[in-house]
Parts: sequence; C-alpha cells; structure tokens
Amino acid sequence: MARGELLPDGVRDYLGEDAERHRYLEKELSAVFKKWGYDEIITPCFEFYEHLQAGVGRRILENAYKFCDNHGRILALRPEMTTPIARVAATSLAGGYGPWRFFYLANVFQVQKEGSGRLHEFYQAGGEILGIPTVRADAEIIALAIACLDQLGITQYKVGIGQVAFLRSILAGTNLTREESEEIMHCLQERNLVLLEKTLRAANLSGEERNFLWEVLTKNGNGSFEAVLPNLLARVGEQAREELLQVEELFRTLAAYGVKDKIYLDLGIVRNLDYYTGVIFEIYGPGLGHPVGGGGRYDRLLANFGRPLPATGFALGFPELLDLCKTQGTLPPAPATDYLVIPEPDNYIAALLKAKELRREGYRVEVELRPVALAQSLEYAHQKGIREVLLLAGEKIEIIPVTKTD
Amino acid sequence: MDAINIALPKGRLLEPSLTILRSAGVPIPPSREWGRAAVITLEKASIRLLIIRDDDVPTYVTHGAADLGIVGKDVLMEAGGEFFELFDLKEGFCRLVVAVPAHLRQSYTARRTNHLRVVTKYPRTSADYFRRAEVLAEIITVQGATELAPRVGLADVVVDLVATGRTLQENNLVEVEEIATSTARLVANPVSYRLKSDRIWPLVEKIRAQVDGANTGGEKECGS
Repeated sequence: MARGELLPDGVRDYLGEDAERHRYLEKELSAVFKKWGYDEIITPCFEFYEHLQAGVGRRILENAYKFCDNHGRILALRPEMTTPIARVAATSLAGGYGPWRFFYLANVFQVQKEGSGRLHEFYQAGGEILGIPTVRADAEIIALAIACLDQLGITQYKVGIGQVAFLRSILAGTNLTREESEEIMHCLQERNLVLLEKTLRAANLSGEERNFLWEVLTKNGNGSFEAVLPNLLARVGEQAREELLQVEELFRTLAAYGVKDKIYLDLGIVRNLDYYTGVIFEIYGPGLGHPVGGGGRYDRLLANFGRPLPATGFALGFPELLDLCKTQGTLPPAPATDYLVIPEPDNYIAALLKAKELRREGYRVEVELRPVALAQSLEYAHQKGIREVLLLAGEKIEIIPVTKTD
Repeated sequence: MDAINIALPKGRLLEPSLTILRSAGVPIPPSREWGRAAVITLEKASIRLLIIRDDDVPTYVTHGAADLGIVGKDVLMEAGGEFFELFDLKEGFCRLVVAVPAHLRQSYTARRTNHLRVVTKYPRTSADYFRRAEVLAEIITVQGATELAPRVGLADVVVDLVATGRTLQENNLVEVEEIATSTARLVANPVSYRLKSDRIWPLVEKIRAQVDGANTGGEKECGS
C-alpha cells in the first residue's frame, strides 16, 4: 500500500515532540479550567445524527462524518462539543437551575474543503457555563478563554466581541422584510460585503438607516467602545438598547478582570453556528489565517433537548494554539531521555537497579537491551537525543556525555 | 507598522488592479521597473505586492499569506475558501454562461431535463448551478480550450467565461443560459480584516472613491 493511502484525508499521527506538545496543552489548559472550578466532561465521539442536528443545524452537519449502526440508525462523529454538552446537561443533570461549569479537551470531526490544509480530526479545549442568563457568565467565559492563552504564554491576540441579538433587533427595527434581514445575516456569515451592500441598497431604507447599518455591520473593527457606544445608544430602539447595555456591562466587567486591552467591539461578528443568541466573540492571533477560537451565548439550544436553560461557552483549537505558541508562547522542549544505562555483559540486574534508582529521582532512563558494541549504543543515544550514557563496570559507573561529534 | 501583503493576479486583471491601487495612492513604480518580479516591496507605504496566478489568490488570502487580494468573482466562486469579499472593483466584466452547438439550441430545453454532459474549467460553480437548477449534469473538467469539446464529441454543453462572445461565435456555439456575471473583487483574510482594519478600511475607502467616481460620477452610498 502506498504511504499516501495509509490514512484517510485530514487525520494524522502524533509522535514524539508532537505528542508531547499535545499533552502539554491538555495539562496546562485543564489546570486553568480546574482553577476556575470547571468540571471535566467526557462524551462519546459519535452520537445519533438527529441529536447533533438539534444543536448545530444543517450547515455544519453537512460536513460531519455520518454512518449507520447495526440497527440502521444514523450516527455521526461529533463536529463540535457544545451540542453534546447541551444534551448531557438537559437530560442528565439533577434538578435545579445550576449553575454548572464544564470543560472538555476533545477531538472533533469535520470534513474540510479539499486543499484547505485543515485537519478533519482536530482537538479543542473549551468551557461552558449552564444556568446563568446574565452578562457575568459571558464575562467569565471570555476571561477564562483569555486565561487559557495567558497560561500558554500567548500575549499577542485580540478578542472581538459582538452581539447577535442586537444585530437582529436593529434589523427588526427597520422596514426590512424578514427575508431581507435573513439575507443580511447570511451575507455576514458568508463574509460577502459586496452582496451586503447590494442588499442594503435594494431594500426599502432611508439613506440614513442604510449608512447606519453599514457602519454598524462593517466598521466597528478596532473601534473604541466608549467612543462608539453613546452614538449607537442614541439611535436604536428599546430592545436593541437593552442588548447594547448588556455589552456595556460586559466591557466594564472585563475591565475589572484586567483584560480591557485585549478586547474590542466588533458588531459585525456573527460566527458560523446558528445556535448563538446573544454575546459572541472570536479570538484573533497575528499570522493565523483564521480565529484561534471563539464562542458565545446559546440560550435556546438546551430547550431542543427538553430543558430550557441559558448557557454560554467557548472553544479553542489545538492546532491554532500550537501555531501561536510557536511564534510567541512557550512550548516544552522535545522529549529527551536523560540517561541510557548500559549493563555489563553478565550483570544485567545492576543496570536495572541503577535505572530504578534514577527514575525514582525523577529522571527519564532507558536501559540498553541489545548486546552491542558501545559505539552502537552511543549512536542510538545520539539519534534519540539522550544526554548521557552510563556504562556500568562493577562498582564503577563511567558517565559518557553524548555530544554531537560522537 | 505591520506590512500589508496584497495578492494581485497575473493576466488580464493585473494592469487594471495596478491602476486602481495607484489611483488610491499606493505608490507602485511603473511596471517596466520591476518587470517579472513576483514580489514588489513598497518600503515607505509598508505594503508588499505578490503577483501570482489568479486562481492562487483565494488560497493566499484564505491562509493569511496575503491580507488583501484582487481577483475575478469567477475565480472566487470556483475556489471557495474563507475571506471577506470587500468591494466590487467593477473591472474585467465577463459572464459565465452555458453554451451549446448552434444546431442543438432548439433541443436544449428538452435535453436539459434529462442528463447533460458539461465540459468546463469551472467544475464547482457548474455543479452548484445545475444542482440548484435541478438538472442532472455530468461535469468534465478541462484546463483550457473548452470551446473545442463539442466539436470532438467530449460533451454537448460547455460552461465558460464570455467577455465579447467572439470565441463562442467562432466555434459555432450559442449561449443558452447565464450562470453568473463576474467582475474583479477586493478580498481580505478574515483575521486581517479584524486585526488590520485600521489599515484596510482607509485603503478600501480610497479605492471606493476612485471606482464609484469613475462609474457613477461621484454618487456615494453605503459607507461613505
């Protein structure tokens, strides 16, 4: 079999350094989540297709891996983690209204466009708060996402904050038909500003309304919130006003978290999942073509599973986090064995005891298993990046540093 | 100041793209000064121009190798990818059409209900179009000279770009359906769009002023 055909599209093995880095992310991130009082949740990789559909909607599921079980029921590999968590929360949590805080470190599966260079199976870390309808939960989620980046030593990034309910309210406050409003949201999701402009021009809007919508939908990038807010508040209806005031409170709360310089208002952010209902956000890092992660409020998702509970959450992508770690964060060094212990030909037990002693002290130790010449052992040590070779000879131990010239 | 990378397409859209950028104040030296170079660094303006194949522009922009790009809508539709379509430059107008040999024009509507064999350089766009039109179509991809296909029996129907219609005429083909119109678009990487908006928007506005000024005598709407 040709090597290129050993694995399906978009999956990979993690060896050595890559596996080490993967586990490093898991370790650091789960430590952050636990410090914030989040409980880990592990759900199955695949579920009933229709349950997943209740969450993410058709568009994402078009790119899900689907298959049948032996009863002919349709299953799918989870394309994201929020829906499985919503299912668990809605159906398995004991009574009451929470709050519940969950985190996950999980692989998710999405068929990516050919030639996109994105993995079909990739890992995410994320957190969710269930049962809290207020801005305090949104603020905690955003602050927690930022704490995750901090933990990894990532410092260069921006968090763009939007509010989909506000967008829907200001659209509803105009003469736009329902179809036109949907078209406008669609343009934003598709990032097609040419079509957006055309749609706005074709609609029955005053010139002033049209310019206002255009400015709100496209021009808040890097906008200073304090500068934009009064103008916005003055121009919108009751409902939109309330939603905007929530955003104001969110900004004040995040300032109290000490992350004010990381966030900015960008009301044009819509995200590509249909379940969001309120504050949403995306995190952008320099040099990355797409967001590191993002999230937002999804107050209607759990009702699809029979238990209406407000909720908000976020996810970060491992591949993107690692890319940022490489350019600005910290990464663990490649895994290296500290010692290779070479036994005397007739005293293997002494080598095992020495190895045991060193391991107890916390070193990584390998024992030479092959009856080979020292030169070969040194070559092996050199290839593997082992620092020192211990050559046992009776009571004596010769320490041979492994250098490049060996 | 972060440098901005702008991907420009080789070929027929290159000169119009350069003209628009120059008129928007980007100090690009005359083409003869850089000749065949693929990268032009404009030190003072902190801009780098990448001159690449037109169908590579969406790829560069999607991955963030270029912050901005100029490319035909036809190429965007075919490539897909993740980018903001910022502005219609209204240059390089052409249409993507379905054409058949003249003698099949009458029977086309009847044939369309059954099964079409379509030769095209635009397999994705064609497949999307016929799927939405509820036509069963078999798409055959070629890299060029689509108009020859019916003559040698590769297919009866072609989907191709038409500027003047002369090529169709010379090959005895007639247009039966229009799939889309295409003009050059300014596109942006989604993250650049957010992180470098303070550099991107002023440039977009200058370009808009030039293009709208040239096309409608200064009328300005949306985002003045």
